[in-house]
Amino acid sequence: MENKLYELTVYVNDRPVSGKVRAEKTLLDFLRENNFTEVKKGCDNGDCGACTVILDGKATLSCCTAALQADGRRVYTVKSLGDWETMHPLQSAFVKHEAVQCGFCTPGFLMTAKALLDRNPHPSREEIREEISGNLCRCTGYVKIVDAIEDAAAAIEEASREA
Amino acid sequence: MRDFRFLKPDGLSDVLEARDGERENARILAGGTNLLSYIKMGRVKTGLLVDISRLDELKKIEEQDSMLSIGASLTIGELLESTLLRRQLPCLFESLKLFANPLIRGKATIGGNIADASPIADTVPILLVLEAKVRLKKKGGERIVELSDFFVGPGRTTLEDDEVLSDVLIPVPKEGDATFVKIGLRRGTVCSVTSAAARVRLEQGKLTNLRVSLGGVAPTPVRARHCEQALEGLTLEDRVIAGSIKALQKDINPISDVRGSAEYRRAVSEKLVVRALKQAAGMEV
Repeated sequence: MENKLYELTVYVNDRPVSGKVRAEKTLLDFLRENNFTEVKKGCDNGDCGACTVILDGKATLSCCTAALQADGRRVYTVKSLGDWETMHPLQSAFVKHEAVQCGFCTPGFLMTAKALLDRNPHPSREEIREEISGNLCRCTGYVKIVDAIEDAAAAIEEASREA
Repeated sequence: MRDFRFLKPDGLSDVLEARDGERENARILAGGTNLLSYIKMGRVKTGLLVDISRLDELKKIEEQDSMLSIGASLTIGELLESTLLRRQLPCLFESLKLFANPLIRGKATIGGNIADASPIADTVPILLVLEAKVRLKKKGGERIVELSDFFVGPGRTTLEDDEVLSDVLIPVPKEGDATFVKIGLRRGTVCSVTSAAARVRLEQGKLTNLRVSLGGVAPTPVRARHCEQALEGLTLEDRVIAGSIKALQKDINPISDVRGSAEYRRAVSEKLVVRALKQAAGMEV
């Protein structure tokens, strides 16, 4: 029996991405198959946070989301933040604090951190630690990552004061 | 061979219709932390995925006649944003902060955590001491079941294959309080080794109206009724309850697994219950 395919359109980084998917296709696989390979597939089971994207403003595990559950909704990946020439303050802070080692977990951490700072521009270190507790890093540990997020929050505030 | 279809229902009636027609093959999809994982593992191979994650009818929290109704499709994260829940059931509110991590809390729903019927489901021990009920709806009817009667075994409940868990009903406690203590090997994404919840009232220093429950120590989460009876009327002092707390062993039947041995679970259960009782009684632990 042929598997039924369903049409969908997801707005990824402000661009419509359409396709046909099977009912059980995850948002993670849909994104990667459409060349958004910056969204990382780690455990594919909700344990590691590497696949975190921002879905309608919330940090969301794309491996635990059916692609069809994101139909018509807005998704942001780490590439929405900035690139090498115009880095987002979070990206600059991760570089400055060397909060990256192998880098596999970094897109997930950045999206979790982005959603946190959008909601709470001045989190305490404890709040940052709690917020990133679903993102696993097996290389650097978490101190530098917390430092970077704290620093990025300060940088964003400073930039908005200057503006 | 996998064979799945997808339904985005317009309302609860579509969900009930799907369950009525396709029975257990109509699989309720909300947060996806369980069902999508079972599909990837190959444990679930076919079905109509019924997406209730954005169904307003299952996302309400309201109070009526001193009873709080919590929609099954509310995520743990959404519950932690509810001022009504924080005000009326602070003990449940606080315990939800210990549920997994913020990413999982943003996906996992209270209905899913209950209906999945894991022996170590994190919302269940506290709901048991709060004497919660679940409302099960089907086409043309509904019934309300005590949560303590809902679980049959690991992954098994009394939910019929044409029914849907629509909401959790919790009597707002008038006196006393409940608290929830959880022990796991790691905070964050941890699956608890054993968990316990207790609710108690102190009358002239004596324990009354005890409610004790545990997770991870039997095929289902359990109310520890032997333990409750044995401790009733005692003062909450270590030397006074040292013997009676052993009654707890009759309430539990733990296994050994990767997270801990049966012996460890038996030993830690007593410690956890005492700690939960002391916290519930407002004593320092």
